[in-house]
Amino acid sequence: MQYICCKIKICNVIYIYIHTHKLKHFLYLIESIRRFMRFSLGLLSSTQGIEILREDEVTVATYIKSKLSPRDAVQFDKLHNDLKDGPLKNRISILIFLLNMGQSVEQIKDRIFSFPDMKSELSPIASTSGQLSQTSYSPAQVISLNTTETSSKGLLINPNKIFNEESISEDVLVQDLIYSFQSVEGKILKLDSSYGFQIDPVAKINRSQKQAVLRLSELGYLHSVVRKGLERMSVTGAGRVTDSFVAALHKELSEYYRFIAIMQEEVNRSQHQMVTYGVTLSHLHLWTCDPLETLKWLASIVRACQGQKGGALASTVYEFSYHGDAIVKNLVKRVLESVCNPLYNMLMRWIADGELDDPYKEFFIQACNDVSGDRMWHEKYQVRNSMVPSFLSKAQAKKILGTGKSINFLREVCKDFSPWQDRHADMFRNTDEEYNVEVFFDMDPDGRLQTMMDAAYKETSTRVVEILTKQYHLMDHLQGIKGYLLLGQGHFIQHLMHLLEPELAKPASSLYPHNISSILEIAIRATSTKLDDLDVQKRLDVRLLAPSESETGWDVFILDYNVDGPIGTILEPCRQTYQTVFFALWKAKRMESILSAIWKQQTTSAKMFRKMPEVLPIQNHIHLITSSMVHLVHQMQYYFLFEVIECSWDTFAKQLLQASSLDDIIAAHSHFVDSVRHGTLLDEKSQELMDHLRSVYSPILDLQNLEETFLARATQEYEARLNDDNFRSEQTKKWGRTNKKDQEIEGRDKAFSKYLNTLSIQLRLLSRTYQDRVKKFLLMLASAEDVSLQLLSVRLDFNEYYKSKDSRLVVPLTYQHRRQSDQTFFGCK
Amino acid sequence: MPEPVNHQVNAARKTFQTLYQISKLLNTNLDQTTLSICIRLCENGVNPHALANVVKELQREVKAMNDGQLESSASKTSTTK
Amino acid sequence: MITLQLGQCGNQIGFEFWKRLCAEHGINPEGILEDYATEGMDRKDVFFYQSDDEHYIPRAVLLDLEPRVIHTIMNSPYSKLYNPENIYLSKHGGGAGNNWASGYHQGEKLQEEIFDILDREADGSDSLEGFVLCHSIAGGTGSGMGSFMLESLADRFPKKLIETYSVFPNQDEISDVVVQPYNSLLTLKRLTQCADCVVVLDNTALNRIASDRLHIQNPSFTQINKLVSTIMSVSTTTLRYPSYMNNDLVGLIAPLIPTPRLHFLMTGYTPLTTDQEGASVRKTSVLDVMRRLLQPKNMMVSTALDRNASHCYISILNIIQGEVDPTQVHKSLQRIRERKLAQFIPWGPASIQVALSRKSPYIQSTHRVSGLMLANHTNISSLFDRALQQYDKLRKREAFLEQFRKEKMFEENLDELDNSREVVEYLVKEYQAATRVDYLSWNPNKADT
Repeated sequence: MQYICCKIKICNVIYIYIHTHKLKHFLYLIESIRRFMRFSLGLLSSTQGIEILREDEVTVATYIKSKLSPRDAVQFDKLHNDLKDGPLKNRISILIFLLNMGQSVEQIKDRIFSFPDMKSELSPIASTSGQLSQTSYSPAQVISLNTTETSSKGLLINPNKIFNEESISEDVLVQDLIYSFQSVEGKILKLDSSYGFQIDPVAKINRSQKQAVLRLSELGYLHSVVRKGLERMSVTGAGRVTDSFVAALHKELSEYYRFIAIMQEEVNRSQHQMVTYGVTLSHLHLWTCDPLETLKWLASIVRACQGQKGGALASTVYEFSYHGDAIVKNLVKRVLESVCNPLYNMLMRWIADGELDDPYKEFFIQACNDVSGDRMWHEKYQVRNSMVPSFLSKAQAKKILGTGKSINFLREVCKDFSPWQDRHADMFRNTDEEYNVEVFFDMDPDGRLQTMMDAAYKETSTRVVEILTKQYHLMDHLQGIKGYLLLGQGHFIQHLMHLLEPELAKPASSLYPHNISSILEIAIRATSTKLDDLDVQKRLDVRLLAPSESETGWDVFILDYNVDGPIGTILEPCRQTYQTVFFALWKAKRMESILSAIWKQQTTSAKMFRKMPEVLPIQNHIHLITSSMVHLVHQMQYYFLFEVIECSWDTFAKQLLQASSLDDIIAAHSHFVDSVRHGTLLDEKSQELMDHLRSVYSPILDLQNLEETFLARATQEYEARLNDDNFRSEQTKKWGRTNKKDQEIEGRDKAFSKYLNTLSIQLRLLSRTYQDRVKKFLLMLASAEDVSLQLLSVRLDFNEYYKSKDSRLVVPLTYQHRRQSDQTFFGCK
Repeated sequence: MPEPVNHQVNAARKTFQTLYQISKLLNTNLDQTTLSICIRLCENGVNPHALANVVKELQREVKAMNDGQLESSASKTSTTK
Repeated sequence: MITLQLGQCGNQIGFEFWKRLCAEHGINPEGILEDYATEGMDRKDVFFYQSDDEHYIPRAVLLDLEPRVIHTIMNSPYSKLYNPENIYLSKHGGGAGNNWASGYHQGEKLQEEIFDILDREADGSDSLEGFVLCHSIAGGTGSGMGSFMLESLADRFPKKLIETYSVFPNQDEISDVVVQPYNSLLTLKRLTQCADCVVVLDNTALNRIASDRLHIQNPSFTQINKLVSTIMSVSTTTLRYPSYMNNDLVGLIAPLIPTPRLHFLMTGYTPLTTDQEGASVRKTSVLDVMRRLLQPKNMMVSTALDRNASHCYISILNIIQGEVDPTQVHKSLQRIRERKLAQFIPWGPASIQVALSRKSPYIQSTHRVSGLMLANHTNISSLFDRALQQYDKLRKREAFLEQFRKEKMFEENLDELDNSREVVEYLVKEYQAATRVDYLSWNPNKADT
């Protein structure tokens, strides 16, 4: 159908055409019209050239433009643009039609030099020069050598150029400039000391030309700067990043050389072909516009990068990429890409295999090879701050460090060579090909590299955490430490203390660790529930501090927990603190156990001494002192163990659950240890409090002594009296009373009641000392900065017993009061 | 309703003028009427290459005819325009 | 820890106690550890020992003079739990006839056999800390034989602690045991003098709690005994689930008992629910629990409120179980202090001590947090006061003394009764003295009216 329509329309065209041309000899021409008809239809119906229609509009437009003079081309562009707004459906067809119509009329247009054309024509040469530039930098000479002759020839031939014999012709200047662009001295342009070019003072050049030449010679200067800079940087051993930087700049330079070559070619051609106007300074001006810009940037990059290497160099280059101009941005990007390439490769190896392939110390992660074991995680690998590229944030660098470190940690410390590692590495090898360097410095936070690095970090970290918790039973060890060193297993500690008591009462110098170790083992065996990890128990160890004079075993005994391997990484740094904490807790526990013993002895002996009414007040007194001590010790214990350790443990356990990397665990753990240390008054700030608490404890030991002697004395007396009674009853039965015996009994009674009196005084004294110390301790707690200590003070005096006895404790604890009370208190001390 | 039509007509006229300019730029030797016909043909899907051939042939023929038959009479072909 | 169950009541509560312990430790009625309980962190060795065949056997000695209760136990699924050698039934099986003196003398007669069992049991424990005695003070066996056992234990094991769970008779009901006041008083003397810690389980309060709080119209013994067993098990939970503190009996009771005679402890428990209405899961905070524990209505001892004497707490230990945030404890204590919810002694430091303890993982509880209070309160003296009054009433009439005179101890005179009265009176006085500031200088010898 469409075809028929076309035919009809074509007939119309022809008729109309004929009409419009007002052909007079119509009849005569009918035959020829018919002939036309047939011809036209034949042509139009032919499918020939259909495929040409596949041409796209842009090509056609370009083609059209190429046929037109530049001015017309501009005009065409405008018109073409207008067309696009129009309602035409088949714009391309019309354009093709018009083009074909136009072609029929051959009009030779002036071939104006256009740079892109030249470029494409000369590309083979340029590319060779490009290659040359990478190996040696003499392409400039190559080009200039074969042009010198022609240009001088042109000088003779070209009538324009000999216009002014006196001044130097423009062509010579142009040629010299082209030399200078490559930092080669010419006839007139000479190098000066700072790589700049000066016009030979002998040469006569008019002012405007002189200025133009000097302006153009800047290019040469910049070129020298770049080249000299690169020469200086391409020393052997400068590092891979530097090498690839130099290579990248050479590549950029080769582009520049290609441009020079094109210019030279143009100069040559204009001289050969005797074109009316040759290459002028203005031409050069025009052409060098872009390269000048480029070279300016290259020069400043090279200048900035002098003496830099590795990641620092990448940072420096990266600085330049903050530029609005797309051309500059692209240039910097190209350089940056090749600069980052080696870094990227190192990064990939690091992330994937944990290997540092960095002979020139360029990477931002460094290793100390002599570190191993516990310290490996903490010290072996560090971020080399100077080499962190500025496009990486501190956090990212840390993550990257963590990733590789984790891999090494798994390998070196955890001895984990599971196939997981290979799979992991494979994953990266694949991604390695997928991603290009660009994503490295393109710091898109959601970028693929970021995601990939994050994933890698997450995966390795999780793996480490997993290995630690699953394979190395981190939780068991921590529980063990909490149970044994932090007295979590109260019954064990009690039992151990009970067993160790006779041993530790000895002078410290006469203790043997192996004796105590075996006691420890007995205690463990006696108290362990089935679940307790044998490994944990095996790690428990006895440590005796270096004994000094007059110290007993109590002063030197410490329970220790041996750790190694990956767990050691976490625990080893805190070992010392654990020991200190244990020592303090053990001491407090001992007080508790002493008081328990006193209590028990008093309670049980009370039944026995019921028959000796005179000891009752003493017993009562001892009981009351004991109970107040028990109260304090229990409250202190509760505070240390529950409020401090258990609460810290609680947060610690929560953090552990959330921990996604070893660093998290270490941080959580050290936070735990710190808070325990602080809470148990063992950090520097609490020194005074702790000292005083020790002084509060000391009456307990005194009480123990008094109580023991009292018990011995009273028992002795009790038995003596029993004997007496027996004796007396016997005596009275047999012979009646004997004075001697009575006297003896009387004397003993007196001595005993005297003893009771002194004991009573001693007890009163002890009680007063103790109470004074407690009050001072309470006051210190109340005036402490730490709120929890202030509250502890309240807790220790829950029923305001001490408060009622000491007016200083009554005053509300305002800051001012605190200061005052401190002053008065320490004043009266 | 008339307004869009007007608009369309205007647009068409403008487009035609643009094309005519291009045509002149390219030295096609087409007068407005012929161009208009040819545009319409192209819009209807005629092979532009073929059409160009036809038109050129026609021009050539007409010129030849004019040269041969009416030497004295003034040339009416668009070449002179 | 060796448990002695004496008499009808003692064996009943003991039975419930062991049932509960078994459930908490995941031990089945035959003494075999359940499969799910093999990984426990608990210490079963406090109350059980392991026989060669992996059976867990309670360190319990069951004593009774009449067979009824023990037969019930032996016919229950738990019959294989106990060591049969530890069950001693008096041969003539006649019981003590609710007569203290009869029970006491039968105990005297049977002491060789009983102490054979006890010595064997004591030798079997690595570190025997003490004895736990379950009995009532009203009947014959629990009170009479219990008194004898207390005396002999104190004598034979002077270094061991004796803790008793003593059931005090219901004062709201007219007892069928007419000599109950005599029995109670005589037992109280031994509890004062020979025991180191008495956990008072007052039937009056238990019944009241059962009816008022648990809404049981006529509380059965089983229900009350369940309540008792709860108290017993929770009060030993720090021993069985060792944590930082209070892991032995001394550690548990030493802070509670400042002087040897003031060793009668009240208990309180919350939340009190029956099995049926356990569904009411309320969000209980530590403060809620601690506050409720201080309310008299949750106390297992009914004490007459004596406004005149300023009764006060000598000490308090709260054993809190469940999901407790340790940081809450402190805040709660602070609040209690601010609101002055608890009045303490004026003569020495005292406070609410808190022991956080684990809950048995094998018992499902609808309550997130539960708490037991062990308190030493001077007001417990009102209980003794009441016993004294009842005794006096009876004694004035010289009523029912014939039964006693039949036994050896009272053949010649009734001095023992008078003496017991004196001891109990002193005890009441000491408790009253403990409310005053000058308790320090209080001398029991000089204590007069």
